[in-house]
Amino acid sequence: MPLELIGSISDGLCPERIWHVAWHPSGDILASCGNDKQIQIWAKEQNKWVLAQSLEGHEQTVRRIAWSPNGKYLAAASFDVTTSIWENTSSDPQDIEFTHVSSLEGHNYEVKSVAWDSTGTLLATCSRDKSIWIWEMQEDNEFECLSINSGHSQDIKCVAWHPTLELLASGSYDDTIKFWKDIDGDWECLYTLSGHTSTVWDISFNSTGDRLVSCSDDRSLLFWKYFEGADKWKNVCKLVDHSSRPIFSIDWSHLNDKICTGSGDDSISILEQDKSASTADSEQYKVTIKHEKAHNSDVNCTRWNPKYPNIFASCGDDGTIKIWKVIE
Amino acid sequence: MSGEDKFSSILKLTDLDYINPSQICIKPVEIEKTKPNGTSKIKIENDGSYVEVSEDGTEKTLEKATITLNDCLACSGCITSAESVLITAQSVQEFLTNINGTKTIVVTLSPQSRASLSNHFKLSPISVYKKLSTFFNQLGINYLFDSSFSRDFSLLESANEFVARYKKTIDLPLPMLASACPGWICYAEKTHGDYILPYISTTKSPQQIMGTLVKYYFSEKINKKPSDIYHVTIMPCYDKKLEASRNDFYSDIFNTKDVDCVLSTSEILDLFKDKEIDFNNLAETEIRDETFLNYDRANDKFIGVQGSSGGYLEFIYKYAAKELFNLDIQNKDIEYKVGRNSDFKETSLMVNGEKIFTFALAYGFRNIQNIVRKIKISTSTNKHCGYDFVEVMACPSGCINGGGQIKSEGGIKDNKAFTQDSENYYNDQLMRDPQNNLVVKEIYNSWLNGYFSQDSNTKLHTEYHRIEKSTNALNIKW
Repeated sequence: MPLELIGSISDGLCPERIWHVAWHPSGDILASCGNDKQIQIWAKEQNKWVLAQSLEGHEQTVRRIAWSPNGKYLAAASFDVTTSIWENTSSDPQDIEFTHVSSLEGHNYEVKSVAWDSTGTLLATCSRDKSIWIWEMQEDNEFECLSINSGHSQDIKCVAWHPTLELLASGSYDDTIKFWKDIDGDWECLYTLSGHTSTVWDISFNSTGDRLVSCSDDRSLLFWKYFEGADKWKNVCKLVDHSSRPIFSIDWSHLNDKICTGSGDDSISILEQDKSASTADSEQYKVTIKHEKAHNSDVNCTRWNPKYPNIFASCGDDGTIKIWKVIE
Repeated sequence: MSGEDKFSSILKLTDLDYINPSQICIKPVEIEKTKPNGTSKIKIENDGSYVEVSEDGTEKTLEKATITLNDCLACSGCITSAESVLITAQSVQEFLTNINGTKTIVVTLSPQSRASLSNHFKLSPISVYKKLSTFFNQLGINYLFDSSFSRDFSLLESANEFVARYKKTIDLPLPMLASACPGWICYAEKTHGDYILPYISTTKSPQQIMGTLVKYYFSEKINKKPSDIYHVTIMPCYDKKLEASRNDFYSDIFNTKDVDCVLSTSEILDLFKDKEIDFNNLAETEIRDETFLNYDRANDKFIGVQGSSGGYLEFIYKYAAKELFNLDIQNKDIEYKVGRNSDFKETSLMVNGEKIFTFALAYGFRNIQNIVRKIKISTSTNKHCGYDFVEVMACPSGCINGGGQIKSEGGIKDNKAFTQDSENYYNDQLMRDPQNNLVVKEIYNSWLNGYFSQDSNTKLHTEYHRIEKSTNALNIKW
């Protein structure tokens, strides 16, 4: 199974370092952000990706971006300690016309990641200040802070919501993954997963939310499964030395269960579960594609297209965005 | 528990990386080196000490840089935190050293600490006070005061400040935000600066008003100089140590702080342990002089106000209704609308079906965020933020649950019930409108020249200072 490069954006409009890419739920729009403090929104015209809009306002690097489930809002986490919220105010939903509607302040140091829950009403942000903030979106694009959680002992790199429940997972420089849930009005840490021996860079739930995969600076991938009876997340598969360098990105496709990873060794990998070799307590995941030199530098982010199976985007320190297709 | 754990979470979250100053403190300090011109190397020993090795091989251990609490308050680097800093400034050890001198020793006990001790020992607040008197007498302490007394001043000044803001006779905006919580003040100064500071009530906290009264009113009564008194407070809150250390509360003329040392309630327990005191079995010393105590001799009970975080909202609400609209609601219960969590409540004063003003309680960091956010947005859009007064406290459940209080041994869940028990002990007192405190009235007449007067503004009010944020921490690359 090879990877086919079906699109590429590197026309001088991109920053030298692209941190993150995020697909609009329609699958036809891609947003990216990087060290030029901007957010760029790309749309496909014929067979070419063109810049539809550049969103300016942040004073520092924009580290991650996230689309609301209905695609109307885009949230951006920045090193300038704020999270910006942008709304597509175009009357025609096919058009792109984003306006800055809100700025979430409160983190004391760089905001590292942002994520909308499945209903699009809750927004989680995490920061180098070791806290996770949960906001609720209200009428008039106003946001109310519901909770400020401390628990991680170091910089928090990523947050991800469960695909259906009000359950949040976070990965940190303290090498752990934590789960957070609202219990009688207070968000509390339910589980702490230890297993990585270095920074957890990225985490991703599968489509049903009973599995989580994490990638780390320790060059390994860990697969976690939820056991309802025991009410525990357990490590069911460990792929050590998946890469020769830290693995920065991981994404579990909700369309066909494939997993893509991006690494500091410039490579991209595709993984799938080997169901025949998996048991209830132990699962096997195998690398079906390892594409070396996918970028000319670190691969910072890999994200599956939410609508078209087998298509994903990647970006890296080489200032390019690439769109790939897995040929089956 | 280390000192760091006892600070309110608002301070911990404000902090850069919560590392001891020795590791990342950005405050420049001078270290004396032996040979300024010679070449020398510095090596780090296993115990973490730094040793200077000169060319001829002689070794000299370098002195550790010391940072005072004041350095930390004036710096935006981190709040700190480090126990080592606190130990040199505000600790049981410091307290014990100072009470053995020649100074007159005054201890001020907060009603929240009294309630926490009551709950821990299952004793009435009055018994706690009388046993503490016995204990402190043995230590050579001369006076044991009650900060409910100074809180009456704080409430009266705050209420009159609110009325002045409302009537626009002073140039300060609404909503007025309560100022008694030092964690909140420190956070506002370090992170919100110019936006928020004008909204914060200039009225000093009960601790600092007691400091002023003890050093500049009481001292005269007993013919002492302010610096001849060593004033210690017992507070429910570790952050109060930071408040007492502020330069605003230090007199260059008299070379003395208004409050010399702050001990948390739990540190009093440590002190009992240290002195091997069986507190329950201590004799009770009867109260002879009730000056600087809110004490009702006939009923042998303490007197206070409703609300274990100081009762600012309720008092100002009722006082303003009377002053501004001639509404007598003194004996009416205030009905609150509870927000998404029980630490956010609001209430509006209605006159003829019209909303006159809205007051809110906002406890805990998240609720403070929402208030700050609303004010920022209203400032930029020039609209009313919806509130006229907010009783802001950094700790969830307010001061009764302060970081310096005695914690239950059964973990978080149990601590909620334990805090409720402390609240019940707190309420074991008579309630009285501060306006009816005759001693307070007398001091207002003879020493302050009335409520919110020029004199009271000099003596009972303070200022806040924006602290510039250093930007070097933002240069991170990943």
